[in-house]
Amino acid sequence: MTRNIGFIFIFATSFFLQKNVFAVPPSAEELLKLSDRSRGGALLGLTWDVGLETIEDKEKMSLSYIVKAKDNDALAECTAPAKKKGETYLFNDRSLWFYKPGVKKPVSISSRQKLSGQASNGDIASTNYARDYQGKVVGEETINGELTYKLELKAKAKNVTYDAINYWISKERHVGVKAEFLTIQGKVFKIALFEYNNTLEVSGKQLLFVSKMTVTDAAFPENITILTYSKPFIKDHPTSMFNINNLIR
Amino acid sequence: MKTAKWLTIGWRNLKRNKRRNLATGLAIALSCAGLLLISGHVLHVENYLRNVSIYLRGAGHIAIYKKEGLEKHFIKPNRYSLTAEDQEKIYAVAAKDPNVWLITKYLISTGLVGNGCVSIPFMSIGLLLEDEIKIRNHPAIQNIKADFFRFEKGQELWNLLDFHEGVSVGKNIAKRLHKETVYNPSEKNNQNNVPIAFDCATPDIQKQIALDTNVQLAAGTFDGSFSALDAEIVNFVMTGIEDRDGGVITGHLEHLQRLYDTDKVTSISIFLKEFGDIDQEVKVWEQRFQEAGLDVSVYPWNSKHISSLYVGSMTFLTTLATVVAIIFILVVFLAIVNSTTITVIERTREIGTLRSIGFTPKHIGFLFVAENFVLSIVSIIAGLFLAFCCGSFINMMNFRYQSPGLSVTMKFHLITNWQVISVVTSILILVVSITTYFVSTRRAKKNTVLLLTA
Repeated sequence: MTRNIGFIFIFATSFFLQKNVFAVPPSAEELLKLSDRSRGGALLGLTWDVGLETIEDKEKMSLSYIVKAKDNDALAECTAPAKKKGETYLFNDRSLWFYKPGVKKPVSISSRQKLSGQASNGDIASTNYARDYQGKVVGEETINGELTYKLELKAKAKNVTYDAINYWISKERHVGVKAEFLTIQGKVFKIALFEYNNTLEVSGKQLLFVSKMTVTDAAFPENITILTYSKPFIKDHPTSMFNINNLIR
Repeated sequence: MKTAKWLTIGWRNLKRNKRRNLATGLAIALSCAGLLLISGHVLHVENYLRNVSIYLRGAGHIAIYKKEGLEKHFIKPNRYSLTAEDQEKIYAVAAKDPNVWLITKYLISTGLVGNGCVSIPFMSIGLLLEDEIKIRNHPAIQNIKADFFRFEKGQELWNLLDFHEGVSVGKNIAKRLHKETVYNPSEKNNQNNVPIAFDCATPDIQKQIALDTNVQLAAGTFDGSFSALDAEIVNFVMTGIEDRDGGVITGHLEHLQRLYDTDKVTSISIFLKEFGDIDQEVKVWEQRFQEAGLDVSVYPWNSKHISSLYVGSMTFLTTLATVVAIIFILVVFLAIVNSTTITVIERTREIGTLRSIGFTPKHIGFLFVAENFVLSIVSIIAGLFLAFCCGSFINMMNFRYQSPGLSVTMKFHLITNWQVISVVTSILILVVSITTYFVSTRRAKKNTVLLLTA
């Protein structure tokens, strides 16, 4: 009898350990792919609005864009204020172009170029960290009461938005909840917090979609930029929309 | 004894050992010529770089920035640039001073310049072309301006005063953007063969770009957003100033203000008709601006923050010249010690005789000083003549060399003035006289009997 009890105990313990302690976490790449979907990456045709509110040196500034994304391309067109209306950013894979109505040719720019306040150009478009960064799960942490995997991301190419990122992905929701953007020397210069109050229906399933990204200057926390994402919906876009030559209408 | 008599005795004594005095005189003459030549070079470089800093780099005699603006205007241009109200007040203050020759303003910032396919970073300088014409025609730079702002192609921006889209592009930027054509309004159809939009993947894209005079300037605006506008290349310029040839685009102030969406400027330069103590001038202007309620920083043209090229080059050159000058003076000192010591030893009995008839060591010292004073005067005259001949020859040969901070070669030119000649002459005479006096009196102080029996 005692022997049977012992056997049952060992079996139960090993089952428990297998299920909880030695459970293999998803790979960094898998986590990034899942989290990218909630930030517009790797989806076949998507449109959303993004509003930027910048408070820098006590001065406020607002900009609004409509973003159309498909695969690795995205087109962000400014809708407000009136004097900036029509200004367009075109993301062709990792290349980025800026076009302003009235200017003869588009200008090739960097995704690192400051868009407004703390936001870089690369922040308004779809995120594809799985493509752009080499990730490594380095631990687990609780961010705002939510269990997360902490990932360290290193840029795979020079022309991506950031050199390195510390990224926290929710264990349960598989969405990025916090990011620290690092300089090439490894110093944090911006911190972003994400909220996901938008939903999308993708292949019959509900997918959380980013609703707010709050970017704070690490050195001057009073300098803040809030990106508010709204009205996301799945819509296929013609490939020609992302052709640089079609920018000049 | 009268000075003339001392000098007559000195002249006579000089003739007693012609060969030794000739060698000593040669050392003094060569050192004199060397000191004049090296100071002539320092004077020329100082004059050259001063004019480059004040007029060609646009620092003016006095440069005015927003408080901390010099250090921070690139990072936070909106906060650290001079507002329209500041500009108005500064102009009003300057208008009251009759010593102001010109006041002008500059907008300096950064951005990207694109050719429709690639973009590269640039530094922009927006200026008032009407003022720039006056500056470039200032008499102080007439002799050197030919070295600077040489056009590989095109014409001066101010030839097209009303064409605000015109920009002057550094040679290196043009090369990196594959641009080979400049805008010429008299050839209105010269852009007909250039497509509006480029297909950057086509094999002959570089040829198409080479024919295109149009570029796009893109930059973060002062209010924190992003903007772009068109510009037409009017010239490819070699400014001659290293940090400006690399990546500078110069254009109309108004046009660049449109790019940065601002009416602010980075700095205002005041050019004076005459100036003495520039640090004193700065204090006066600071006081005036303070009274006008302006929160600005005022810099003299020779501040290391404004004219690093001038300060760096002059610090190096004056240090080098000082070391060389010390060597020349040391040569004179050793030559005098050597010749006087031998002469004094040779004339020991004579010194003893003079002591026995009442001459003090001081009197004897003066006898030797008079002798070497005459020698130094003759040698200095020879040195001046030698320096004049060498200087004229060097200036005539038009030797050129590369100076740090300049991308043009600079003429190896020697100049001098009466102040420098006076200083060099005085130093040499002092060194000769003091050295002679101490060497000779040391011997003359010995016991008269010992001197007579030596």
